[in-house]
Amino acid sequence: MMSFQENSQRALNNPNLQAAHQRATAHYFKARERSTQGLDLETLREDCRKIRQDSLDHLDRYLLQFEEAFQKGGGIVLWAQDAEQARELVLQICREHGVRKVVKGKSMVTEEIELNAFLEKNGIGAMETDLGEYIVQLAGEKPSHLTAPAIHKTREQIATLFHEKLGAPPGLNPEQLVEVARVRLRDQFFKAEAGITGANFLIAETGALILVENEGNIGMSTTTPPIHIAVVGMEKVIPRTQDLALLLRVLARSATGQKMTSYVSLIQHASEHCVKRFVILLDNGRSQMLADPKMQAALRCIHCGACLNVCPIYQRAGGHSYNSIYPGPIGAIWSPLLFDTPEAQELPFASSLCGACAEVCPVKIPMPHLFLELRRRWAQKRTGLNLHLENVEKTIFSSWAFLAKSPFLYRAALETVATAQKWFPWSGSILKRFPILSRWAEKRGMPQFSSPSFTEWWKKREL
Amino acid sequence: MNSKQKILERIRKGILQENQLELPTRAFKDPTRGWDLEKRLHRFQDELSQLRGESFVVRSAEELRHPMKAIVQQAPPGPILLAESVGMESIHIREWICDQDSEHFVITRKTIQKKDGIKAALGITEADCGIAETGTLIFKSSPSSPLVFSLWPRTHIAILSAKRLYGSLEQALTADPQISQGHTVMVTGPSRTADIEKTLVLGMHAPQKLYVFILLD
Repeated sequence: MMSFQENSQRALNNPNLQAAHQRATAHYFKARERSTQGLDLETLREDCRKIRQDSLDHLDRYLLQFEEAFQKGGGIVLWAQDAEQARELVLQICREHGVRKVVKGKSMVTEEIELNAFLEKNGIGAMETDLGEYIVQLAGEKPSHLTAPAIHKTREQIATLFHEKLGAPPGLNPEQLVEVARVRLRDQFFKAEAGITGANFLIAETGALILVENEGNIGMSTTTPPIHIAVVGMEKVIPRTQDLALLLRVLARSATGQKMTSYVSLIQHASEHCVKRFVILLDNGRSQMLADPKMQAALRCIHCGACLNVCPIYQRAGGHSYNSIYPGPIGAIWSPLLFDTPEAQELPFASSLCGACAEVCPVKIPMPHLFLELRRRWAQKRTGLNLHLENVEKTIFSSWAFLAKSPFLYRAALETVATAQKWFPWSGSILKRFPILSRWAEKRGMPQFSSPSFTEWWKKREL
Repeated sequence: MNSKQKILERIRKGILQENQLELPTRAFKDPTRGWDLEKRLHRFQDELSQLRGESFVVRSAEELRHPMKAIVQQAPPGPILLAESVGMESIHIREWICDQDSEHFVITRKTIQKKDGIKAALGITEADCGIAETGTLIFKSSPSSPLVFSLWPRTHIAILSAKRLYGSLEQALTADPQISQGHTVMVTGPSRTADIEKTLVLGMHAPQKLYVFILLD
């Protein structure tokens, strides 16, 4: 597998990806600003942080409360410790009910447990119905964004894909492409024997699954086939229905800049053509995150994707560079904690620590702090040393403060370095010779001191 | 020990502090509190039109007839899925909705078959309540008014009683706690997607057009 560094290098040289991201980002910033006008966003974020933290603080109780309330509606709750158990449970339900064909609503958790490939292997066809996921599935790729899976593709690429894979006429525009997909997928909803979705929240108080979407495919998947299976990360439970009103206020605004998504389903009961509902609660490493005091905050995530949309690294490198189903800033925290691959362990370095992610996060996850902690752990594992670089950092900054406080010392230090640079022109590449700094300095040079210096120029300037 | 017990044990070990089950206080103030009907109506219509839905405020069933019939005539040929509810009965839609020679024919819950969903042209349903802040309609599933009548068709006509137009979701949930039990769908504008280069396209899977008739009584 390729590292983030190699992948992102390739992404930077891909003009299609860069163009697609630029168009999407400009749109997002405008929409988000419009949707939050006149809203007391800071108070709302603090409330949402509290709700999600409270959910984690009493996770066991809320899960049991949810289970009881959901089962009162006739549904069944199952518990899966890991991806394998979750997949087996889905398969078992399908086998028991003779399911050969399923339609899927967009769900990150089913990507996490790699459900589609597993079902295919066992003779069950799984069709993605969210347009972005459908495009990605047709292309044989993986999604590159939490809420916009096909964000890396241009309209021309999608038109070509529909032409080649579906026999649609070449060069269709977005409206026509949507129509092709609508007609194709409409049939699938009625042929499918089960709908498989995730869930955005679970309400402990009433046992309701909450599913948020814009296209209506989740509405279709949960009303039309006879069986509905929801695979849900167990951290998604929230205490009360009233909490939902607050969380929905931030979710769509953060995700796409809408005030509310087109559809929100609240499901506690078998209904319509759906006669049986199952919820599979998935642990798969989440209890370990919960038990990790420094990382627990990451479980507050409501998967809105706002941190991806504002991250300068994600915007340039694209979702696929992360090589994980959870990309972007939050993905660079979740991935190393959930997946034990060497590539995932390096993801916390894919950040400039600018803090844009933490500033936009609707549940206030302090992502840069988590990056630093994960980096420290990575270094400790690699070197075997318990490095407390904060002390080194402190020393560097206090020396800097000492110099900066004295104009004489400050100037003397600058002049020394400037003179050294003039006499030894090769000094610019000196950083590359330090073992620790060489990788960092590969793409960066030392800044050149100007001659004359600013102080000299200021003194001599004509008034 | 089964999976459930193992997971619960892990969670209990992992929880940082055994807090009292004391729900945190909320500081956010519902921005729609105290809005009168006029303000709620105005906001609802404004939000809906931004989402490219259309709304009509009508005083009686008589006033509703003409614009609704025009919408029906414009709809593509195919079945009309007509819900049954108290509000709908009072309007007697069934009697005047399609002409003898029209390409449309009415299907109700008693006559519906699953295959009607593939070609459904129009759905006419009554919303249980509305939310002014976001231009949202709330539909609860019931045997006489299935949710699929609001999801399957190309065009959706919803009827909403102005009495049940609330300011916010908080208020709607307080007035009717049943919303988060059973099966409910909240609808805010037509079905949409922006998965191709963030270009907005309406009518991905569910209705492409949404018309709301708000009945003042």
